[in-house]
Amino acid sequence: MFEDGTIINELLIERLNYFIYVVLLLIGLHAMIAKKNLIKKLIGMSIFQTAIILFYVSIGVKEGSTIPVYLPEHDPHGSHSVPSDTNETSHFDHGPVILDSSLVKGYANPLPHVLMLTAIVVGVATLGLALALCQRIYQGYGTIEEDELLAKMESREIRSKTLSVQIPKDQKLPKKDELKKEKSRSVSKSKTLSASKPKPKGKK
Amino acid sequence: MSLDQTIFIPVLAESLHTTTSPTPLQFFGILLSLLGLFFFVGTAVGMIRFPDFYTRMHAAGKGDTLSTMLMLSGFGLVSMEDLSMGSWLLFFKIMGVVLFIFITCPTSSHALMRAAFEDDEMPMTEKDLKKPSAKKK
Amino acid sequence: MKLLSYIPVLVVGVLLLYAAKDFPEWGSPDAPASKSPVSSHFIANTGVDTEVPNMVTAVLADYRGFDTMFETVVVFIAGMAVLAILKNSGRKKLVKREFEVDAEPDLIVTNTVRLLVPVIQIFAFYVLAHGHVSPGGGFQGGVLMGASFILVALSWDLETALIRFPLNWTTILGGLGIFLYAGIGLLSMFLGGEFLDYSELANIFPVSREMARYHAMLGVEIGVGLTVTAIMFSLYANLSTEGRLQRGL
Repeated sequence: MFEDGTIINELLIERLNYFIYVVLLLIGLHAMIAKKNLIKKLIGMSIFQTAIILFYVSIGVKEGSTIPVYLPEHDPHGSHSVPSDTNETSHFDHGPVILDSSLVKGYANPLPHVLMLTAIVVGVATLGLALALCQRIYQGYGTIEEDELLAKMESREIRSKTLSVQIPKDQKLPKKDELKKEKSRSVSKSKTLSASKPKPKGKK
Repeated sequence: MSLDQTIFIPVLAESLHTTTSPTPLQFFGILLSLLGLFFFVGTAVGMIRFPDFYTRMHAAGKGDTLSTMLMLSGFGLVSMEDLSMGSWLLFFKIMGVVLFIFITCPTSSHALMRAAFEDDEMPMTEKDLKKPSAKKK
Repeated sequence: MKLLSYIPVLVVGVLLLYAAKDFPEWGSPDAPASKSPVSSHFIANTGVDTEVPNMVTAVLADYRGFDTMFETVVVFIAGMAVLAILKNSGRKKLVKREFEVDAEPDLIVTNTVRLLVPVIQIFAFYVLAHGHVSPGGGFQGGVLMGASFILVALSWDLETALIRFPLNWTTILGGLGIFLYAGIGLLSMFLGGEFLDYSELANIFPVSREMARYHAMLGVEIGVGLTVTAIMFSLYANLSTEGRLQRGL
């Protein structure tokens, strides 16, 4: 089953990281397409992002390499971390030098890490923004299920069309701050004034 | 590439074959890690098998704290191959993490318990066990 | 409809798995990404160019400084957008939600948090300032710093955290962080270099050109950390209360 050349060997052993990234990506994609709940869609989006991050980071791996921070012997200020039992002259031995290609192989690739660091940050920002939009939608429509949302939007559209035929345009409702002023005035001055004014309607 | 050359097994094989026999300190560390692993399994079983919220939190809070602390101190001991400055530094860093977990883990389970109590979640009593309806939920 | 959604998913999956056959093997040093002249240049020359031991920090704040600057701007804009969406968004009345319980802040939790928050904040400063020589940097330190304030908000309530970190400070601090970042870039431009070419700062500070880049990176990371701290807390405060900023979780 696990011999060389078979497709299972290829997918599950040689290229396991790509297999996992594809599976994660498909889970996220399916959640984004098929789920009706907006929050579940966002969870799918996060899983999708995680798959991409896994892909990039697993590409940056080199076998037998260390993290992309210089070891003490290549460190430009390495004398601080080298134990003091080495003699004084070693302080000047390892100044900054350009590493040759055999030493470059000893460090993991820093570029994918940088790219994914920024991707994570942007992911947090977009997730926060999307959650805020979801909250706003819930405040406006009382639901975050997609189909209910569409039905509500449609019915609201029909209602607004029929309303716009009946009401002429210049009879708009007074603005909010005007309402507040009117209220305070009416309370402080007289009751007759407030009675003569039209009462505000349709306040949510 | 065959099965014994997979991406996981070389790491294990390397650590098993190439290193010399562990020092007594390292051996003790491995024992501690295995003990921690045992308690971890106990935690997982308790989370599934216990009947209500409070007993589950009991399993999670206690078992998780103990097993994580045991495993981390085991790792700290394993990392001390020689008693050099660097390994002592690593050991103390791991001990700092252990201290952090010792403070935060019980607090977090206490906070969860308290939240459940404020929300009128009742602990399971003998009466609930006798009722047939409470068996499956 | 549900079954229909499986079709694109399966098609994408088969295509991606088919393409995975051509990707390099796990951990091979000859992979195109590792062999490319860009990343090997970064590994070989970071020490000479900037004297920063941590290549990730050097690439993030120096070589790709433009990218990181607008990354920070994206975070700031997201925070401001959340503020704009949720502020004055209807429902100003305190509707008691069904899961809300009137409870005093717990004694054990608050005392533990009192103990931990200073440690977390000091660790955040350590991560931010030590990002040159060990894993860390502005984003990580900023997130830790923001998390400490979120911890206060979780264990007492949001009002207590807002006394420590008022919400209009988050706007100011977030802007200040970007201003610091772009200011260092502009300063190096006025000194004769290109935008974000920190080595020109050696003209006014008594350090070598490499160490100028080293220290300018610290300034840039502090800017990033300020913005991220402010925006993390602002996101939490707005999202947990639907923009009302009282009676959070």
